[in-house]
Amino acid sequence: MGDEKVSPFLVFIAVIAVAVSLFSLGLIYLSANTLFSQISGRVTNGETNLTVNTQTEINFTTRAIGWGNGRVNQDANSASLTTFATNNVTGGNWTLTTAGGLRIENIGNVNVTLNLSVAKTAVTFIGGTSPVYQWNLTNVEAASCLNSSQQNMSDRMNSWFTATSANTGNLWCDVFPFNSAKDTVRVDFNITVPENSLTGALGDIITATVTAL
Amino acid sequence: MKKKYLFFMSQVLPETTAFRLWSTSITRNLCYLTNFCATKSKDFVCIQKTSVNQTPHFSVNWHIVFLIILFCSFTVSASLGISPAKEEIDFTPGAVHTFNFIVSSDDPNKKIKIYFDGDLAEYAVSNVEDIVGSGEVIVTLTLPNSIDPPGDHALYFRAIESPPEGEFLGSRIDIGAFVKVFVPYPGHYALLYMDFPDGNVGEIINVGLAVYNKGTQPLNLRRSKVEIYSSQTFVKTLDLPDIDLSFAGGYNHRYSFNSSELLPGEYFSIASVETPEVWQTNGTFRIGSLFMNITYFTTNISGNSIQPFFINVQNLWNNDAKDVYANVNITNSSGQSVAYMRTPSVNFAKWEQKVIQGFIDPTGLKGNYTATVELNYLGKTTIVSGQFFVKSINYLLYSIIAFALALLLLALYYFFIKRRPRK
Repeated sequence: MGDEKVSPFLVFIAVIAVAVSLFSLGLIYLSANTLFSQISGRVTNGETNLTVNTQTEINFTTRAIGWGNGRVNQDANSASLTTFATNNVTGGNWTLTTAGGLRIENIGNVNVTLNLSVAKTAVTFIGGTSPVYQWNLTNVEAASCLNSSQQNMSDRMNSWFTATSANTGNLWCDVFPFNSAKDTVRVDFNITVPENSLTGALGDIITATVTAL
Repeated sequence: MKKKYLFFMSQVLPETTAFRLWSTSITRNLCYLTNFCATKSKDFVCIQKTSVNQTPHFSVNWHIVFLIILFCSFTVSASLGISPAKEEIDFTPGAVHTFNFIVSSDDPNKKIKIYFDGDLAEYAVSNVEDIVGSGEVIVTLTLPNSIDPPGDHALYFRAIESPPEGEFLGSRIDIGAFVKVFVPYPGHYALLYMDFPDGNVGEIINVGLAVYNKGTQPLNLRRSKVEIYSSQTFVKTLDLPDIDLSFAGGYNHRYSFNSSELLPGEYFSIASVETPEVWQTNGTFRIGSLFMNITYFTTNISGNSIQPFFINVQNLWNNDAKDVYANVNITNSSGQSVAYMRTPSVNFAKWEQKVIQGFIDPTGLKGNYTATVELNYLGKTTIVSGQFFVKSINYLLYSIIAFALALLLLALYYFFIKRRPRK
């Protein structure tokens, strides 16, 4: 092995190959350096722009209540109508169409105030001797109706109040949240129709006044 | 088939809900529609009547029934909304502002009236007074030259549905968005909001101090600083740069500091700026460390059956801690282990206090022992120990007492009732 003579031509070729390799390595370095300087960098400050609009919106998931046609039973002095799921007609032959009361949901993305009012009194709505027109505000989802301190309302909920066109009969929530887990309330009604009530198509309108907070 | 169905309805149900549904506009008879949909049995009852009184040549077109149910699903609910819900501007005398409100409802035929409320209602006009369904309303607010008193004033932009017709108890929505107009206070008036978040020892904490000029004069904020106190003891001052705020302007100071200078615990911070009047706000923050404190554990149980063992733990780390569990070892006066338990693993949110519960079997134990609670979390351990008392229930004693009471009641019955002389 050591005695073999190295061809000068092969030595020349090897030197040329090493030189070309070094030149290529330099070109790759320069190219990569240029490329990296163009496609990479260090971000020192960034900004994103996203606007979410505020929306105040409520939905009466149940918007009307009716008992259809009917009358007070002949052997009764009055009939009692409620919006409960069972025993919702006593002393009459009406049929409740949708049990569960009026249901109101905050489907916006801001908290709102909710004020409920009626347009009539028991006398102007039902008439007769000792008519009853009452309503009751309750949570469908816990903590849906809060006072201004964000605590559960205690004074205008979970009790029957006389519904009247005067503001004294109103029901309200100082804060009606939009959180999807606590944004639904219901209003039930308790109506007593005396045998000498008004006749024909009776009706009243419940207005939900809502204002963004 | 539809004509046949309608003919049947008109013959059999001339005064009922279904006929009115088909003979009049659906949108004007939501009550009847709702009645019909909600009590499909009513329809069925009517059909049964026909089979008695008339020749029953009726068959249900299920496509129509489906459409009726579909209509019902649209009409049992009603929504009304306004976007944006609120706008805020600063008062400038005589300025004219324009706002675009989108009123939306789920009923394209719903009649909606637009009106204004609030103490600035007289200065607002809209391009329309009524819309049907949904639409955009352009509101122009022309502010007067002065508004008293200074502070917040409001313009409420409201939309109210027209009253429903033909319903026993119908509903409508009156919804409002608002434009808040802030009237600046005379002279210098700075409003400060500080954001001093909790952190852990050694972390960089970003403190925010926003200053708003709510007065009529420019503010030159000098000697702005945040002072940190621990239990009334001054700890550190964060100095903030001088800023000049023009009328209605605002600036948000951001300051980062390394909390390694602070010990774990609760701190009180006071932010102040001079204009040259001094304006301040304050708050509290916590510096946490990787430590979970055992604040209480059960020290007294009865020894006749397996009993719950409670450990109150507070996470003093400003991060969540997962898989936290405790080993409880009961030892006697000789140091020998007489009972042992391990609690299930629970997760803690940052700074959360929680009770960990396990069950221990004290069978055969009675008297004083030593309980050692070893709390394991995130590779660390907190160990506390204390006296542990096991009381035994003496069933024999309770039985004797119960027996004696029964005898006493029997004796009373015999002497006062049984032996009462008869009249």
